[in-house]
Amino acid sequence: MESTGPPIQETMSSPQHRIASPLDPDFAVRLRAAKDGAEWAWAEIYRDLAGAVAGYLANRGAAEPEDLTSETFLQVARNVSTFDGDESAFRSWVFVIAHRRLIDSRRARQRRPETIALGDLRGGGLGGDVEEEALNRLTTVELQSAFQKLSESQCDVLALRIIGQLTLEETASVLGKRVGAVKAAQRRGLLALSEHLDLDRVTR
Amino acid sequence: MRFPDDYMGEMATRKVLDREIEQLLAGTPIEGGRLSGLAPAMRMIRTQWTPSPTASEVAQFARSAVSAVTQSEAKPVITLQPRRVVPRLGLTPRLATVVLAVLLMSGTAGMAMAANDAVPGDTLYGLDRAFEAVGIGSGSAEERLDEAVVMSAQGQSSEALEHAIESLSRETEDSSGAAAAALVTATENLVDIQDTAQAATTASIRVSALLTYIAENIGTDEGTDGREFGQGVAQLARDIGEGDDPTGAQDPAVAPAPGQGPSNNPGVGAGNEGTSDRSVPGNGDSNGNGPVNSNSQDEPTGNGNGQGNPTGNGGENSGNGKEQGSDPPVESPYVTAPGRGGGAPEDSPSATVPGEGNKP
Repeated sequence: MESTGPPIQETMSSPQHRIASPLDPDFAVRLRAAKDGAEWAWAEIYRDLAGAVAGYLANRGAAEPEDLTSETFLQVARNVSTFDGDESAFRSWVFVIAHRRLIDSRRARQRRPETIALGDLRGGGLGGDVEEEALNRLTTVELQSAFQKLSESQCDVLALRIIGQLTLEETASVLGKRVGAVKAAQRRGLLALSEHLDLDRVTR
Repeated sequence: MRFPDDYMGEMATRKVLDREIEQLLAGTPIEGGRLSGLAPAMRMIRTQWTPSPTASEVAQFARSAVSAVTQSEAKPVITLQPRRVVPRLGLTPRLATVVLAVLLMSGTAGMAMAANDAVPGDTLYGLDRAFEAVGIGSGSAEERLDEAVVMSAQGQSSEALEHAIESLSRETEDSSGAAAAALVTATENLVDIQDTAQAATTASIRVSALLTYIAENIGTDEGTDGREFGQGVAQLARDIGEGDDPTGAQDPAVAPAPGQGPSNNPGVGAGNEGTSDRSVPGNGDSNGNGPVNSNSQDEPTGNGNGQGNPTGNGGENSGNGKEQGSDPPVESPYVTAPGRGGGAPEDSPSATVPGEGNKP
């Protein structure tokens, strides 16, 4: 901590911008810079989180996930001066905003979420190792339809945990649930998911 | 403490499953287990469903973010002028003494009011009882019951029940006896059901419902000899022991109807999965796993068929009905519970509300 001293101590010494957790100096510096309006900091934040947020919004049925993603991040930028906390808290905070934006947009459209076709998303490359064969058997369509059979709260939890890559605690704080409730939802959701996937393969 | 026979075994199974889930989500290979087949799916979701932004998108956002930050910084800042510690009102010393005395007295009244809302465990609760002892604040059973309602809303279900029983045992009315008996039943049922966080949440919603009903209806039951009241509280107390939809316990007027059983849970759909938490995972789940677009979960007949028709369109109304039906009872305990796991949302509430905050 001492070795990365100067920027940290500078931030710590300014009472309005006290960083709650100085455990991650890189993030603290980035957050400080973001609050000061440094372009590089916002680029890093967006590069880190935009994919996960867009994926989450798309999976949870946003009509225009890309628009909603940029709205989310613009709100993050507008409100960043009110944020204090470590990287984990920041990640949760971004997803809280995304989640609320999503709910707002659903209300505005007054209808059930529809999960979008996966072709609309830019796919990354597949990892090529032992699991490749299994991956090929498992089509995105199968997975998508298995996901659609889960309950709303199971989908919320699993999307945040798998796509958003949030921890148990972060997921709980985004959804306003207890950690125990998140655990139960993911247990049920994943068991159901594996059951549906197996079912699909048998019926084919 | 009484536990169901399979309680310990089930807890162990859950622990194993939870560990497997963490390994699965972390991408660590897991040997065997019920979830090992999901590993490729997890990998695929992460690689395909999280589109990385292109360099130009990143650059474009960074530019607009900078202007958003500077715009919000440019907003007018309201600064409070420091107030003088001693107001110069030109008071004579004697008048100042009178003003001070009035201020002190009203301060006491304010404190009594603040203390009056205290519940057991609060710092001010001793003060509340002290004020009641000298005649400030009623100190009645109603007030004790209101305190119990607050305690249960704070998640202290068993303490709330104990508090209510204690206050009712000092009353002599018939309705108090019925209420106290119901509360004892409720306490017993509560011990049975507290095995998971979700069950505890459901139970605490129901304890709140029961206590609210008692607090609102005790002594107001006209012309029915308290029979309706007695049936109402008894039904609400029984509901606490059942892994059922908590919304069914909200209206005691309909609750006493026969046929309200633990297996009767139509409409336990999305937001409520897990309320019947003792069911074996994997096969007890058919209520919670209906297709997203199907309206079968919203049918009052609750035929339990949640599997088919994944592409069926439930229509606009089914979606809305389900969200409204399932959200409030699930959300409410977390909203009122203090001390929930911290983090950014609590730390900066203004920032987490969309559309509010720093817009210039």
